Amino acid sequence: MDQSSHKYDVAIIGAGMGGLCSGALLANQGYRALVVEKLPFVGGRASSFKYRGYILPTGALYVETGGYVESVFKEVGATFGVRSFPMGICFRMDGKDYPMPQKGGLRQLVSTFAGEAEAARLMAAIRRAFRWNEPSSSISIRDWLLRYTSNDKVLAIFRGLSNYQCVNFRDEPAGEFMRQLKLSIGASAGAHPQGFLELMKELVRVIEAKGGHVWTGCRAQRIMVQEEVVKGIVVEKDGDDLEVLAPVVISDAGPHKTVELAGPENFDNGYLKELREKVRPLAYIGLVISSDRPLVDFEGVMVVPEGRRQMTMMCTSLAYPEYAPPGKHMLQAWAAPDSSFLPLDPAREIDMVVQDLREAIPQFDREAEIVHVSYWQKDWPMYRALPGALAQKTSVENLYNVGDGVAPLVPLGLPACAQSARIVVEDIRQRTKPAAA
Amino acid sequence: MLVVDESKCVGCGLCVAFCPTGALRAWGVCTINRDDCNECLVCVDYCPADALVVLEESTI
Repeated sequence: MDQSSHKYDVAIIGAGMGGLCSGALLANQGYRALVVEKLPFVGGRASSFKYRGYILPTGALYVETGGYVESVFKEVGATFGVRSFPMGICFRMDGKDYPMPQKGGLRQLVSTFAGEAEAARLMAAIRRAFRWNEPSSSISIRDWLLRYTSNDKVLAIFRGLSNYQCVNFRDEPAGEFMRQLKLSIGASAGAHPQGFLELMKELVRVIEAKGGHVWTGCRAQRIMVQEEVVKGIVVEKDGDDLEVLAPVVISDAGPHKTVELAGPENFDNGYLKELREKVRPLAYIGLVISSDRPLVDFEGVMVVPEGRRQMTMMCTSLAYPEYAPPGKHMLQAWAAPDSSFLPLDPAREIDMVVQDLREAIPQFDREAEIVHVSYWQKDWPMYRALPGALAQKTSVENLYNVGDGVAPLVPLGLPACAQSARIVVEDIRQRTKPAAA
Repeated sequence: MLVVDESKCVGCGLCVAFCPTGALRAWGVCTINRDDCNECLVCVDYCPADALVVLEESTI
């Protein structure tokens, strides 16, 4: 390889949704982009793998359709091979199922358990939060609700909805909860029938077709910075350190890792303070359970809000039979641990979820087999931070972060990652032109 | 010798899926069944948290 082949317009660390969207958008605009990914596969926590004949997600289970992610795919000419996801929600409480109608469902559900006046007061407060002003995020959604109701069943409904957003009810800021609830109205979603890896490979195809490269199994060792301006990255490739010169570097490795790679001495203290105080990873638990017959008959998402842990489950193989081997069904269950933020005993947390599953599914002990257990936390979290925690630009010139550590105020997860990429790419387009242009 | 750095392991279970001999289990934290592990180190590449590490025998 000659020296010129190690020069790119942009070097991107991490091939998650943020990294690959950035790479594809830039490649599509004529920038020569290199994406390096330390894992042997692309997609990060938006990928999938095969295990015992099942297709399992590395993180995200579904992606919104017609939203931020799909708009990136459309713009760059990538196939968005997503099949529609059943959007219905049903609450299982005290062994009874309460399907939530798509329109007016929350009011109906609240009214099932609350008196007329209490339900009206609470729904008026939610309407105010939607139309007038988001509640303050200085308190949790639980504490915000306590002003309007102390009804355990009503609180449980919201505990379940918090789990739908993958955040513990006691930890989710009230404003964030309401914003996400509002954004979810009328939203639709889907998943790739062969798993997220296939979806993400489409972005790789675009990057490579437009002159860029994606190197998997290639670890970024260092971000090169000179006088607080980024100069490129050093990667380990085929056992050697390789300098990649690039006037712009985007990191999808998480803001903490970005600072570690570039060296904290290159950042201003205010930036580091914000990073320490605001970018806190959220933990979550996922189980994949096999059975011969569906363990849950409902095709959409079943919320189990009253257990030891707040839990959501779905018999994914009903909508995506490809995810399970022939003759088998796959139930996925997700739960927020006792705290989204604090260090916990992961084995104990998973035991709590299994006990909840036994209670929620009467035939669990007879018919279920736990195939796989995942915990998302620390460097591989559910989310690297809540939206709005940190800006995409770092204090080092031309060094950006993308991904869920710098999520903008849009739907949580993949849409936020895609939108962070779009924000960064727009800024790059304003500031630098491709070398070939 | 392959060991799990428990301070780094997130319990994601990716190593379990990619271990060709089924020597790994993750129930919160990854554990290695020494009888089944042939130290092929595939799991090291697939660990997103760099929690699977090889220690020289002399350092153990």
